[in-house]
Amino acid sequence: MTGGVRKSWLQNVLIGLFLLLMLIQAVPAVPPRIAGIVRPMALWVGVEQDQWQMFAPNPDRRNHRISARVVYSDGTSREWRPPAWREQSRWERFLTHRLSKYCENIYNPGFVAARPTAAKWIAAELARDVQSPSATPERVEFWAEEGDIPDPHYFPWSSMAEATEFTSRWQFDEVPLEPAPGADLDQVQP
Amino acid sequence: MTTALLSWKEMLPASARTWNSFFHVPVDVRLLTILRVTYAAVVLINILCWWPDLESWFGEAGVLPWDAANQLRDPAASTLFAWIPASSTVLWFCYSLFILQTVLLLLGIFPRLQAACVFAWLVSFIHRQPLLWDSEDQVMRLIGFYLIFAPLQVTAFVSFPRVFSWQTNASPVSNAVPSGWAIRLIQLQMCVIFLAAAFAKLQGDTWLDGTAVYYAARLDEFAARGGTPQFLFDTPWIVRFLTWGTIAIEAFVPVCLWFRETRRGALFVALLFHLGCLWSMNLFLFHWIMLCGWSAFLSSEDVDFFTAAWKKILGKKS
Repeated sequence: MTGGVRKSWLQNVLIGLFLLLMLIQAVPAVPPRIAGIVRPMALWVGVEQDQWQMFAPNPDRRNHRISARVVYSDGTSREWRPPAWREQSRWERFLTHRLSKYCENIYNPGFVAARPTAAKWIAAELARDVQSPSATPERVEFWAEEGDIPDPHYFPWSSMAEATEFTSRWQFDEVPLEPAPGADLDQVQP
Repeated sequence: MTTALLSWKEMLPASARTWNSFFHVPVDVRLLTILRVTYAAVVLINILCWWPDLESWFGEAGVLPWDAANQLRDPAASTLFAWIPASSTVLWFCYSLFILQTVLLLLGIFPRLQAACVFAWLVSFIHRQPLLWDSEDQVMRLIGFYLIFAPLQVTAFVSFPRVFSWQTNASPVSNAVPSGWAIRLIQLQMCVIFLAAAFAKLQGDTWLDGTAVYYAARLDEFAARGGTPQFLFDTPWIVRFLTWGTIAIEAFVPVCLWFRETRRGALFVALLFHLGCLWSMNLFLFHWIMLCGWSAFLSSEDVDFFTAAWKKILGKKS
């Protein structure tokens, strides 16, 4: 077998393999069971791809935003808020893109495990200019706000420039920053 | 009369010929250069945006220290950070190396080696911190992966100015390298992305009733402040046109790109679509990396055309 033939044989095997990886992961008709088989291999190589949706099957019909409240040992509290995305200039929005994605994922139930370290980081960020240095942060409450985008089937339409009216607010998680001294171990969830 | 119309003996060689003529076609060096330079530029902008928050996103005092990230990530997800000490100095060293290798890829210095390293860094950072990423990062990873298998070595030290000052009447073959199968894979990947997105949209009622763009334009995260004409998104018939037009573009561009008669038109429509989205929505680098991917469909004649136009602009035309 010549070097050229061997090379093209190897190239064709690679092409076939990459095509299979691409199609199994991206084509919606492929059963998830089969996609699940190739996913570990794709993840290991670094070529995993999720379903390409891009605002599908439907764009979100409401706006969300999150905030966090750090409660200190002296009973005071301070609030941490990401920027208001809609009020940012294009350049500011470009630079804070990763932060907005991070905030979206902190709210995502799939990333609950990332909240304790997020809470520590938020408390540390606020500690930079804390007014009473003797107070230590005790817990961080995560809050979400939600506002519906007006139904387009009713006229006249709201302008796209109008700010969202956030109509509901609730606490979606609370993270203690340090275990309370003498905490009852029986109350610890398994 | 025989009942069997097909013969394996004839079909297999014919299929092999079709496969070879599809995947192992010569590719213009200038196109490889365009892909290499645009890809490296987008990746460079992407990673430079991490700079101010590098410690926050990837550091031990940041939002997700390594131990927490390790518990969160899929065990199959590979990252170089699993093998190196988790410290601020190492993080900055890795990041600096990533920037350096992306710049070297941009400049065409040992481009294939740099493409492999840039891909390894990109995957490592993405798998290190799973909370930050979007579709553009997927496209960036995938194009980067296929580029490793492209004959980038022939584009070493070739930059945009040299591409656009090449002889316009040069035969494409003189600038060609034997097999551009990796470029074919980029083309196929781009088509799969658009077709899958079109299919997914057809499952949604807002895409079918023509209101999806109304919602998308009112999401705080994506709203573009300044410069976007509001009437486009405040007028029902225009919104319906934009909604259904998006599905049509995502469904037909990947098909029309494969036919000689419609290829340029489809590329032009894809260009307008992405520039329009860039203008009206904030999607970070998604549309730029998509344009980089679509550039895999450019032909030698297109490069000749742009070269001539470039020379005309510079007043160098003889």
